[in-house]
Amino acid sequence: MTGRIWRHIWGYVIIKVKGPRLERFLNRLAGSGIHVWQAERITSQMLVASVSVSSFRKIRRLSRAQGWNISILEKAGLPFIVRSVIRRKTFVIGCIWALLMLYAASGFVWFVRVDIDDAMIPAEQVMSVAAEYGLKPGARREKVDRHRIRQALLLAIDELSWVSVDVRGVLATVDVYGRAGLDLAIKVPGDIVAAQDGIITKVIVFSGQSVVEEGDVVKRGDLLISGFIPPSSPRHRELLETDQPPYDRADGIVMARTWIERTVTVPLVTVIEEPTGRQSRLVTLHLGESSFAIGRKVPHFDTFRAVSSSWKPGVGRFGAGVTVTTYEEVTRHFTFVAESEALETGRKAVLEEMATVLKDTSDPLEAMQVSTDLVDIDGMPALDVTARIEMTNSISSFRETVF
Amino acid sequence: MVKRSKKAGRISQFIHGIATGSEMPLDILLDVAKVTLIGGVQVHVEGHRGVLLFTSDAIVIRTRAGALSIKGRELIIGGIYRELVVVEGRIEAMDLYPGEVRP
Repeated sequence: MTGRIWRHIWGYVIIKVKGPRLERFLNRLAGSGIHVWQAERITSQMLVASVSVSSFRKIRRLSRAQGWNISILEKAGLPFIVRSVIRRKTFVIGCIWALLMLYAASGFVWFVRVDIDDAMIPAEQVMSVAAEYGLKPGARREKVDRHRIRQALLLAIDELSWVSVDVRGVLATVDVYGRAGLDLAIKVPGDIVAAQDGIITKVIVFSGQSVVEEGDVVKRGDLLISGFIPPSSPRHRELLETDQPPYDRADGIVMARTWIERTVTVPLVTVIEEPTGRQSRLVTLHLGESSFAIGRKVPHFDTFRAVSSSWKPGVGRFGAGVTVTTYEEVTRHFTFVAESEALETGRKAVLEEMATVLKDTSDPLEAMQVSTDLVDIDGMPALDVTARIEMTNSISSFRETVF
Repeated sequence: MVKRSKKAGRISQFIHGIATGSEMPLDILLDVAKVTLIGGVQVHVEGHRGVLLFTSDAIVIRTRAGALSIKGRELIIGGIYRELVVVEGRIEAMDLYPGEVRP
């Protein structure tokens, strides 16, 4: 491997050797200390091999004396590449110019992205405040004062609780978090609990004690941020002295990786019933808790469908009434649906269903995954089409603590 | 000539005995070729004395012990040095024909 790298660095030539007794040619080179590699016998009078550039002159001298005819098929390696590049002056100048332009362009912000976890905060407002303080496409990177923009955003937009401004390359990202739906008017003590199952990705505590950290798996209702004031805090003692529980209102944002899954079942066999015209009727008379049937209880048709209509005007245990059941003979036709067709129908339906679910959520982490499963429903084959999507969203939910 | 050959054989046997007893490498003590087969794709012949035949189906290498024939398909000489020949390709068979071989 190292040898191969060195050969490329120093350069080598692929040569074609013509002449008699080419084995002797190889032995002669090996005996002279000339390294030959990738020697391939093409015909009895010809072989192709690779040699270093420095060896090539020696080989030519040696071969002339012995009657071997040598020609170069290809020149390879770094020296030849450099030489060919140097010959194209305009190309070199163009490359240098492109690099310089790239370097100059990388000193500016070209894109500003706003990531908002709360739909209530308008992105345009965040963008305009950020632009006012110098963060807009075309701004010089070193002129972007992240701290100042952060402060300005927090002051300008009341709904914001946390802001981060990050400039990476030509992309500036403004990450803003709202108050996570928590009503500021809530003054009662309580905890932040999980609104749904998920894997914690970020915990920002405004007040209270975090009991979870990144990577923790939580279930709906699990405690995330506790409002309990620890005994080490002076406020704990103060509250106890005034006969108040040592509890505060927990507040914060807990982001988690969550998932949504929806399944649609598509039958692979559809049954069409066609009435033959033959009917049978069963009349049942009801009197109190007793009933009397007039007619065949079970129709003599192999396949039928039943339609019942009741008339029960009486009240309570003395009530009377009539139920008429009509059995209609039918012939059943089975239509088989191709699995690909069922998959397409199911996929369409499940994606539509998913679209309505995802209407209010955002930030899907990855593309939706659709899987299928063959199932049996009442003896008939069917295809379960399941769509699953993962996303990051806030799972914080306030729960009042009752003492 | 015959006497010398017998004498050489005895010396060789003697060295072989020493090498076996002392666990020293035989190829160095006896100055013979060392052949290493790597998978079915590469053969290293150390201590060769030249290539006798080179085609894409067979390569015959001269060694002190005799002619080493390597048969296969798409055979090439991956590298040839003063002391080492590397044969590459799909190796199917190797045979050693003992005896003195003249180039």
